[in-house]
Amino acid sequence: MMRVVLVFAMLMMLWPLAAQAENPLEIDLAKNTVDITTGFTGADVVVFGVKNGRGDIAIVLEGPRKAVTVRRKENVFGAWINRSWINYDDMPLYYDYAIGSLDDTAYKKVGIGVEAIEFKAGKKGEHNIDEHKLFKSALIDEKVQLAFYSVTPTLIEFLDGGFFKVLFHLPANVPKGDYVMRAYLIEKGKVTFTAEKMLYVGQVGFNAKVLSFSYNERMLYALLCIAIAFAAGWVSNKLARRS
Amino acid sequence: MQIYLPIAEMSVTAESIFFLSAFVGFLSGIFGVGGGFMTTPFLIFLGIPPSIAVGTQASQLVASSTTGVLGHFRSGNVDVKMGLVMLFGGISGSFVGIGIFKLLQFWGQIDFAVSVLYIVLLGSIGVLMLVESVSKFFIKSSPVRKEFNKKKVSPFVHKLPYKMRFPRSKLYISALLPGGIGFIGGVLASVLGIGGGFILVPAMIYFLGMPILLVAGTSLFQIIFTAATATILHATLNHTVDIILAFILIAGGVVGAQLGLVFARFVKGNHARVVLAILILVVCFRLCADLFIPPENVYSTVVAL
Repeated sequence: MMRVVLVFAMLMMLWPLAAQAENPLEIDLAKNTVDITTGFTGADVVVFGVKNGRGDIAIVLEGPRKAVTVRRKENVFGAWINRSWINYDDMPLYYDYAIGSLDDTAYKKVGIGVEAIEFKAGKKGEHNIDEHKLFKSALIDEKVQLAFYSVTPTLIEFLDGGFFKVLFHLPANVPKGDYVMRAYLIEKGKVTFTAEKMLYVGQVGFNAKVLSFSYNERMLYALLCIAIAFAAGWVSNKLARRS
Repeated sequence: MQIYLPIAEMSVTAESIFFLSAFVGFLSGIFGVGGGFMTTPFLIFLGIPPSIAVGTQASQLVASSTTGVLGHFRSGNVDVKMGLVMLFGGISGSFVGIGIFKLLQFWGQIDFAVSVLYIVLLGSIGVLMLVESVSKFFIKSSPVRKEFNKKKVSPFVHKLPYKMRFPRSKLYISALLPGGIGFIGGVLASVLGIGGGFILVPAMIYFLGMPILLVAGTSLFQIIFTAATATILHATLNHTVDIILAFILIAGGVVGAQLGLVFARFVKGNHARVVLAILILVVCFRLCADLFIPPENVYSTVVAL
């Protein structure tokens, strides 16, 4: 029953897209924000789309880009201390993707997949190519472990008439910021069309208020923390005296 | 219950943090120690970034030392003038400490520095406490008169300039001494998120020659304000004080301290001290292990802000 309702809702949503039928590929998000509230434990991002043109498709959900430093611990007199490091500029903090067919290699050729992410090494210590590869794979491993990168793409579910639906799961500690959902139409090893939608992941409600208060009124925020602490300390002392 | 921390921007299990702080509060209720030296490493074990752990712990310190100092005020065991002079050093120490903290963070050595400082501090305190309390089982010491401090203070101490009178402690010493001790406390508060009572108290006894009765109250008195300064600096400059995390820590601490106080009536001081010493050494060993055992993953990544 649920499934039927879902498909129906989807068809209704995509009706205008299908009716126009100008673009070979269209996508839309069920919701273009991911709201992080106090009880946030992760969220699903649902993308709907319709493929009118010929070829294969891939959908990529890419997180905000930031500089990332990878450090390596080395043994110094018995203790393990961070020594060598590489900075990677402009790294996506999140990367998940879905593909239309099982053959992953064809997608890599057109720049889709974790393996295809460009690692722009910025400032770094002295490293040769092999060392660089170690740092790169360590970064990917950590992101995969955090469920921020996915090395095994989801297979796109096709429904009738070129309609499809893809679900991406964001973990509880997902990086905040602007995400891009990008759909690619690939034909004969070349990207022939792309469509994209923005997705914003951020705190809302009480949490968002606390965060913006802590940035905008830093002094007041600090004093509030101290006031809470003072009050709690005083209450604790009163309780102790009574018992 | 999973709870999303707004400043740390991460999801944590509220119960585990509450129980941790209640446990530390329980210990502080029994032993009369601040317990900050246990909370920060525990928070780091739980996966809270060291910067958030230290910054937030500073605000929890305000709460625990307020509780402590009120009792001492009531019995008149606080030398306010001495406390204020120490506080002067404490606040400048907090500023220097924040600078050191930022520099270490920039170098990627903050975790290492925090671990090493903890290992040195906890290791030496734990061993000293264990030796002292165990030896007390065998040697019956003569009753100490707490009003006076008979410890000999080095003559060098008396040659320092800027002498000041401290009527409550019946001392005439250089203001540089309490100021210097406060300074060290301030650095510890902002780099490690601890009050440093276990450093300040012996220093006040041995270097200042303060009456033992006044030492605990006076050090707590200045820790409140030093910790408050560290909280303000962490919140405004580093943005590493998470009010929700602080709230859980403080609430746990209050509940734990009450239980600890009730429990304290049934335990003998010396037995309790042996337990505390062992506990401190366990934390120390755990930190040592993390530092010396080859890690499973030698790589770590940090996202630029």
